[in-house]
Amino acid sequence: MNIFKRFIKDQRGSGTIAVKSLVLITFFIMVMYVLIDFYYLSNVYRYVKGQQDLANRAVYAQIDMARLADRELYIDDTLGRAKFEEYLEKNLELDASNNPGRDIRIVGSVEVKEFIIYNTEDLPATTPNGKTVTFVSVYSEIEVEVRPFLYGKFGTIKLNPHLLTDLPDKLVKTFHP
Amino acid sequence: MKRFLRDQRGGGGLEVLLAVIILMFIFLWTNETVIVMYKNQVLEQAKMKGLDAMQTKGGLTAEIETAVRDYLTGRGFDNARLSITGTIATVQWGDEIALEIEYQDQMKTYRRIGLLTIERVIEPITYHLYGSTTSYYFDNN
Repeated sequence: MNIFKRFIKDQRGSGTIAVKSLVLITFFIMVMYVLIDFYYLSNVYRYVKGQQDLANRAVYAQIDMARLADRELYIDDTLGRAKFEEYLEKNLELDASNNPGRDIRIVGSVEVKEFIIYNTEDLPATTPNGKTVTFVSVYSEIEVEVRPFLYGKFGTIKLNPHLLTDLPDKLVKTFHP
Repeated sequence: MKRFLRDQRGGGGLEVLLAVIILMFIFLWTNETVIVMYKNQVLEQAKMKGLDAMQTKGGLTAEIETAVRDYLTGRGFDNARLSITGTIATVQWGDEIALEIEYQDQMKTYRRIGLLTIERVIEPITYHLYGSTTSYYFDNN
C-alpha cells in the first residue's frame, strides 16, 4: 500500500510516470493473461474429462448378458475398448485419425494412453495412478493438446485426464439383488 | 529520449490517461472472455446433469428437460433462447442416448477506432454442447 501511495504522490516528472505506467501495464497484462489461461485450461480439462466420463460409461453397454444371468458382471476387453473409442470420438468430435473437427479447444490428435477394464476376477486391483479398485470398473487415461491464449503463442500444453468409472450403486443392486 | 526520461518538471497527465485507457480496454476485453467461458462452464454442468438423469431413465423425458431448463434459468440464462434436444425416452440398456443444448446469446466486443475511441460491438454467439453415452435403463419385467 505504501508503494502505491508513493507512486501516486510521485511528482518527479512525466518521464518517470511514463516508464512506471509502462511497467504497470505490462505487469497487469501478464497477470490477466495468466489468470485467463489458468481458467481456460481448467475449463477445457473439465470439458474433456466430462466427455471421457461419458465414453467410460458407454463401455457398460458391452456387459456380457449370458454371464449377467449368473449374476456376474463381465465386460470383454476388446469390445469394451471399441465402445470407449467410438464414444470418445463422438463426444470430442474427432475424425478417423483422432484429430478434432470443429472443436477449436483441442489441437493435434487425441491419444488413448491407457484403457483397462477391471472385471470381477481382477479385483481387488490398483490403477496406474494408485487408486484401489474394489468394483467392476473402467479406467482410462487420454492425452489432449490445448493452446491457451498467452502460453499458446509459444507452444501447447498437454492435459492427461484419467478417470475410474464404476456402475452407480443403484444399478449394482439391480444386478446383485 | 534521455531528456524525456530525466524530465523533472512534473505533470505526466497524458501518460496516466493513456495508461488508464489501455488498462480499461484490457479489462473490458478480458471481462467478456471470462463471461463466455463461465457460461460455457454452466451449460456444460447442465448437460452432464441432464445426461446423468437420461442414462438411468433411458432417455430424455419432460421432467429431465424441465430440470435442465430450471438449472440454467436459475443461473441467469434466458429460457426463450435455450434449445434442448435429445434421445427421447425410453431406450433399452446399451442403446445410445444423446443430449444437445444450444443457447443463442450476444457477446460484447470492443474495437479501437482512432487513437482514443473505443466502439462497442454486439455480436451473436451460439453455445453448442453435445454429449452421448449409452442407456443404463434396465427393464426387469
